[in-house]
Amino acid sequence: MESWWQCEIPYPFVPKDVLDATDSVRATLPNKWCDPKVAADLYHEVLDEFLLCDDEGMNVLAIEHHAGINSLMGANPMFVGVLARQTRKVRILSLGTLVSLRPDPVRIAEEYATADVMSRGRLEIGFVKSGGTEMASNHTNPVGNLERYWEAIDLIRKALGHREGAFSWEGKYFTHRHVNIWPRPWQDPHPRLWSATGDPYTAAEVGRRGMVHVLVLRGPDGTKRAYEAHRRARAEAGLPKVSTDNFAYAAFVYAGETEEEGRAGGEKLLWFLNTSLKSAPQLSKFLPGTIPPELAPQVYRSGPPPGAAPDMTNAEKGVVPASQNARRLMSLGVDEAMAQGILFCGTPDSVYRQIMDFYDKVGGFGHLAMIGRSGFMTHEESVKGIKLFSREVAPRLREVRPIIPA
Amino acid sequence: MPNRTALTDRMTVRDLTLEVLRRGTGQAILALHGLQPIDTDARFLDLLSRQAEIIAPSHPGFGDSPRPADFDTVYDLVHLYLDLLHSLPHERVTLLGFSFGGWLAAEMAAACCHRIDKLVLVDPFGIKLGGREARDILDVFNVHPDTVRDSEWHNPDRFAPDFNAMSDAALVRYARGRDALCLYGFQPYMYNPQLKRWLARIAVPTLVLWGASDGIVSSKYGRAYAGLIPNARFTVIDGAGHHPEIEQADAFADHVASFIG
Repeated sequence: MESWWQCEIPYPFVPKDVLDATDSVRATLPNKWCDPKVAADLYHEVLDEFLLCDDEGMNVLAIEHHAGINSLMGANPMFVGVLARQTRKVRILSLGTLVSLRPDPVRIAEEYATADVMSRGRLEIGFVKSGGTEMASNHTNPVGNLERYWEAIDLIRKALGHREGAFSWEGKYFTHRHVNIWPRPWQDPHPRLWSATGDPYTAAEVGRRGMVHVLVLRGPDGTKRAYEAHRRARAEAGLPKVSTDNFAYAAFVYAGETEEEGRAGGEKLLWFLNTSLKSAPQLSKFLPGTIPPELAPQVYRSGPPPGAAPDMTNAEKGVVPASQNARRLMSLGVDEAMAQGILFCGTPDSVYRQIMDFYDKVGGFGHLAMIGRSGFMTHEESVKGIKLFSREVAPRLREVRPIIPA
Repeated sequence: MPNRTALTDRMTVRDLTLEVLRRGTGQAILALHGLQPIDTDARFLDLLSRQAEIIAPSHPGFGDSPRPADFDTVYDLVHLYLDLLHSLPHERVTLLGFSFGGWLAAEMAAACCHRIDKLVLVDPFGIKLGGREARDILDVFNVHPDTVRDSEWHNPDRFAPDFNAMSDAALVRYARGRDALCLYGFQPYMYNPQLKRWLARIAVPTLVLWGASDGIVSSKYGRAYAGLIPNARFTVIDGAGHHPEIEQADAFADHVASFIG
């Protein structure tokens, strides 16, 4: 199993009364609350942590979120560019620039090809469906997002892999009549592609396309269900079985010298859930296109209908709407988060056991995307966590080789 | 708040089957709904249907009208309803458009007035009047639902939908309508940059009605909109927000009835 370290570079330094008063800490909170001098320090600290990962032999992962306290990584390709030049050894996963929010996928292909060449073939390209606040921040129609997502990926993939001069693209969402990017990517035909999704329909498509499938903070049941949807879709399409190398899981991870130190680190990571998910209803549950209309009775009401409690999972569809998942996550404590398999923390031994326990529950996965710094965790604490994990846990995980489950 | 339920009638235009609400007899009114399909229990229907035959389809994607995957623009809607207009047995009909449906009605009348007897627009969307940093029409997808509610209704406590009280079926319908509205109207937001120029082509008697308390799109916008349509009459209805046909059904029906004679 490969380990991938990440920090979303949150900006936690907004006064609590401001955060309490706003209906959304993403998209709408005025940027007067973001001090660029503080932001610069954060960028430098986290880039140094990425470089430490390179020294320690741990892969790095750069995400993208827009316009909120949860993340200052609004421009993923810029980070990927820095990492492509400044790291020397490890692989770099962009997870990823939000493709359905950008008007020109060809430009994204160009950015990725540049980073792949600059890093001499160390790039991995991930795609992430956008969240509701990001639809607002990027002025994107939330209806049709998924179709646009797949068309953007198709166009990027073709642009990266095409070698024989300009081709034309006149799709439903994107038109570009002259596509011929320079440089071509280092990896041929293009870097490996990843996709993050929890819903079974998108999971099936990720499976059919043979992409590395990432589950983010979904816990064992949702993760297993999505992996199974991936495998089932491949089987139904007559495609060969894939190994655990096709599956990834993203969770909060912190290893300390003692159980207490590890838990204290884990608790700091939960800031992401408790504080940075707050999102206005118009940007989450009421945003058009984010839930199938059939789920409206569960989602629209502020209280349960007479005689029924709102279901967290829709039995028929097997879907937990992202907004409901967020509400569930916002109230979690350390023990709960650990029990739900979204936080692995403690001593290195304990962290290893928790990860492998989760591994067994979901039927195996080949990549651990670890959120190792968040909230008010300091640079020093983060550095300590990276060193301990990469020296004491990652080597043991690396021994877990890809397998094709029977 | 009455529960919106599926309509029983259907009508077919080319390959599209629409659910349609039909009420009354007399001269025909083709009514194009706004943010949501017209409620079957709406009082203004009873009032108007005493002298008119109302034909009110649900736009594809709204209510129980299916939407083909490649049918996703106002262009599609305008052509659908021009087609529908020509397929009706009536030689001429009154075209009545509310809000988003008012935009469609204005587009249709600007394109071709042959089958339109009279045009009634009620708090219509459709054009851009303010400067590039002024928003004419409240972004109902991007502001807090409480703000939308207070902007939409003069008396929200009495008239705004109560999700907790609505049936499951009504909520599914409502959510479907929101998705469809967003699909059609997101970009540019609820207007066609070219329409303003062509409103001058409208060559039928036109009445523009506006709720005095409309906070979704103001009566000032409405007055200017009416000014772009030759000889249009502009009337404000007090005690009503974006839906004067609901909040002041009697006054609304009186205005329409006297206009269509």
